[in-house]
Amino acid sequence: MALILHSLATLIFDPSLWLLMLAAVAMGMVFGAVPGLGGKLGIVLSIPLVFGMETLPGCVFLVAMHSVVHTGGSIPSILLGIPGTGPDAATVCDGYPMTQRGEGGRALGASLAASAVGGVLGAVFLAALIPIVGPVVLAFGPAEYFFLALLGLTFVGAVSGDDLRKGILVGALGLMLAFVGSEPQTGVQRFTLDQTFLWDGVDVITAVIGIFAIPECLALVAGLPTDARRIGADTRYGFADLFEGVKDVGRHWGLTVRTSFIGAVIGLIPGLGGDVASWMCYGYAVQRSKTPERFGKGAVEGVIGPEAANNSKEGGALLPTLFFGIPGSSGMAVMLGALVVLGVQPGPEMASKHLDLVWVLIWTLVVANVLAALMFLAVGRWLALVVHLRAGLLVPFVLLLACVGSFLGGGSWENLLLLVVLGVLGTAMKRHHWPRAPFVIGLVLGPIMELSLHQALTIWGPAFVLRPVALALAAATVATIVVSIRTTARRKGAARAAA
Amino acid sequence: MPSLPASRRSFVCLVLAAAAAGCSTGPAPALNPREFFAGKTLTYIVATEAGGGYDTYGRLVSQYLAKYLGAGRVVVKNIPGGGHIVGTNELYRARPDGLTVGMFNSGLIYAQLLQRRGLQARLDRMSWVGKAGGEPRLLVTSTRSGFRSLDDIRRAGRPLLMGAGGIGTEGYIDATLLAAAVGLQTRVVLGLATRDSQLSMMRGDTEAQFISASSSRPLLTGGYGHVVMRVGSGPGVDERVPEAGDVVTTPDGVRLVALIRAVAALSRWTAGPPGVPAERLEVLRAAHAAALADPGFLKDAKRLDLPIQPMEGAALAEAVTRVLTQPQETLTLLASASGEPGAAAPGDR
Repeated sequence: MALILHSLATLIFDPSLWLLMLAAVAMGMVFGAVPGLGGKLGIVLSIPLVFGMETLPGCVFLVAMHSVVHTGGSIPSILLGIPGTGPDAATVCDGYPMTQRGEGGRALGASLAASAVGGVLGAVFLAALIPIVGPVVLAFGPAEYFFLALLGLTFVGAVSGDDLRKGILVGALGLMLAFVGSEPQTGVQRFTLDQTFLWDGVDVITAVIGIFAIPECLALVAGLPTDARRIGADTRYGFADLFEGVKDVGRHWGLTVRTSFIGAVIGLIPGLGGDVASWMCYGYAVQRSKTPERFGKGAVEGVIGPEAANNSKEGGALLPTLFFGIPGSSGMAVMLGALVVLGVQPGPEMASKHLDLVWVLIWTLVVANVLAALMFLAVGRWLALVVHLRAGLLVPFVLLLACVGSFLGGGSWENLLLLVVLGVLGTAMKRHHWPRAPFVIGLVLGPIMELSLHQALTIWGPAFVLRPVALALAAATVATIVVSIRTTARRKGAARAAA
Repeated sequence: MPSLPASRRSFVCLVLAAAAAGCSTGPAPALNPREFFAGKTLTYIVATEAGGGYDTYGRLVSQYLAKYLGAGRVVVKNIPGGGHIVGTNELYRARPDGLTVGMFNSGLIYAQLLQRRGLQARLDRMSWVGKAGGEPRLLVTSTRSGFRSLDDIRRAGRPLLMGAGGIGTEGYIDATLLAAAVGLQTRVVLGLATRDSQLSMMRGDTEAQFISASSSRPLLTGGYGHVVMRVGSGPGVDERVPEAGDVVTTPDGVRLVALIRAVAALSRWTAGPPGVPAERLEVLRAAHAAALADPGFLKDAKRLDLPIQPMEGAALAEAVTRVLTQPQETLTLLASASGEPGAAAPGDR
C-alpha cells in the first residue's frame, strides 16, 4: 500500500511530470484525431524526444500519450464519420448518425466520459492482475483465439438490423474480403490481382472509410446546390450537450463497466488488437440492448461501448508488454522498443525489481485519461462547430481527410483505388438499406479465425475444441445465439400481439 | 493560330529560352563527389513499417550517415508490405543519384534464390553501401518441452513442434534449412512471428524457435528456454553450445548450414539502386564506415540494444554476390526445404 501511495505522490507532486503529461496528452489526442496517424506513429516520432530523458519521465510521457489516442480518435468518427484510428471505427456506426440528428455534442460528451472511465478501469484491471499476470496471459492460445473470434462473429446477428439474412450475407462478404492477401499457411497470394499492396490484406481503416464515410459524403452533396445542407441538424451546441453525453455514461453505467472489462481482457491477449476490442464491444452493446433497432441510427450506447473498450484495452495491453516483453499490439511493440531506449528491460523481473515504476505507470494511465477528458471538454464545444459548415465547404475537406486516412492507414496510394471500390459498395448498401457494420466485423475477425484455426489444428488436431477455456467460449457462443433467437422471437410475438 | 496574351507569351518565351540554355550548356561539370551531398536531402527507405528492429536500425544508421555525408537533412521513408518486397522494389527503382538509399531484410537473398514472384529487385545489381548487423542464430527449446539437447529431441522420436512467421519468411526458411541440414523432424506452426512464437513456447503450445541471439533474450532471461544449437558465434553466445557446422555429417548439410550462416551474417544492410556513380558510391561507403565507428553511434546502439557487426561496402558487395551464386545442389535443397509453391525447380535457371 505504501508503494502504491508513494508512486502516486511521485507522479502528482512533480510539476515537471505534470507538464510532460499535459504535453503528452495533447499530442496523443491530436495523433488520434488526425485520421491515419494513430498512437504507434506517435511513439515512433517521440522516440528522439524521449531519447535524452530519464527513465521515469520518459516512460510517463510515452504511456500518457499512447493511452489517450482513442479519446481524440473518436472526434472525427463522431463529427465527420471518418475514424481517427482503427479502434475508433466502430464509433462511426452510431456517433455519426447522432451528429446528423443534431446530437453531436452529446455523442462527444458520451465518448469522452466513456473513454475516461474505460481508461481508468483499464488501469484498475492492470493493477488487479499484477499478482496473477502469468497464468492469465498464458491462458489464451490459438484454440481460445478461434472461439473468441467465433463469439465475436455472433454479434453480426445483433448488428444486422431488421433483416438477419442481409446481415449474414454482408458479414460473409466481409469474411470473404478477409481472405485477400498472402495465405498464412502456404504463402500463396489469394485474390491479390498481382498487386503487392494487397499482399497484407485489405486495410481496415480504408474499408471503414469506404463503407461508412464515402456514402455519407455523397448523401450530403446529393441534391446540391443548397445552402442549408449541413451534417448537423441543430445549430446550438453548448456545454449542456456535452454534459448530457457525460450523464449518458452514468445512465448506462453497467454497459460502460462491462465493455471496459471486455476491452481490457482483449487488450491483454497478444494478437487480437484494438479493432477487435471495439467491434466486439459494439456488438455486445447492441446485443444487450432492449431496443437493438435503435443502433446504427444514433444510439448513444453504440458510442459508449467501443469508446470505453478502446481506452481500457491500453491497461490490458501493458500487462504482457511489461511482464513478458511481449507486446499485445503493434503500438505496444513500438512502446517496447522505446522502453528499452529508456533503460527499462521488460520481463518477469518487472514485478519484483521495478514494481515502483509499474505503479507510476498505472497512475499515469489514470491521470492521463482524466486529463484527456478535461481537455476534450474544454475544446469539445468548438470542435462541434465544424458540423455547421456548409456541406459544399465541408465535403471536399472531409473527402481529402478520407483519402489521407486511407493512404496513411494502408501506406500506399493504391489504397485509394480500393477506397473508391469500397465506397461504391458502401453507397449501394446504404441506398438499399443493407446493414454495414457486419461487413467490418467479418473483415476484422476473419484473419484471426483463419490463422488460429490452422495453428490449433497443427498443434492439437481436432481435439483443440476440448481445451477448457475453448469449451467455455464455445458454450458462451451457443448461449449467445440461443438467447438472441429467444429474444427476437419474443419481440416479434409482442409486436404481433400489439398489432 | 490565335495570339497568346502578353503575359502568357512572355512565359512561353522564358520556357523556350530556358530549354535552349539547357541544351547549349551541355552536361554540367562534375562536382566533387563529396561536395555533391553537402546540404542535400538524403532519403532513407526502410522497407517495413515504423517501429521494430529494421526501423530502429534504419533511423540510427541514416542519422549518422547523413552526418558524415554532410547532407542537409535525412528523411526516413517507411514503405512496408509484402515482407519487405514492396519497399525493396521501390528502392530498386529509385533515381540512382546516391541521394536515395535504404535498408531491407537480408532474407530477400532467399527470395531471389527462389525466384519469388513480386520481387523485381536484383540484389546482385544494387549499389552496396555497408552493413551494420549480423548475429548468430540459436535453436531455442522451451523449458516446458523438456528438451535440453539435440539428443533429447531425437530420442523423443516425434517431430519437433516449431513456430515461425510464415512460408517464405526468413525465419521459416532458416528453420526448415536447419532441420534438413541436421536431420531433425519438425512440424512448423505458422503465423507465429518472433514474439508470438515465444509466447506460444511459454504456454507450452510449441516447443522450439530458431532465431537471432538478441531476439532470444525474453525467453532466456525469463528462464523459459534453453539453447540447444547455434549457427555462428558472437558476444553473449555460449560457446559450449554445439555449433550446427560441427553437428552436420552430410555434404548437403554442410552446404545448408553455410547458407544459413552467410545470410545471418549479412544483416541490417544499406544499399542504393543499381547504377549509383562509382565516385558517389565511394563517398557513401566511406561515410557509412565512419558513421559506424562514431562513438556517439556506438553509444546509441548500445542503449537501443542493437548489436553492431559492421562490414564495408565493397566487401559487402562481394559477400552478396557470393551468397547469391549457389551451386545447383544447394538451390534444389533450398527449393525443397522452403516448401514454397513456384520455388525454383532444378534446372530452372
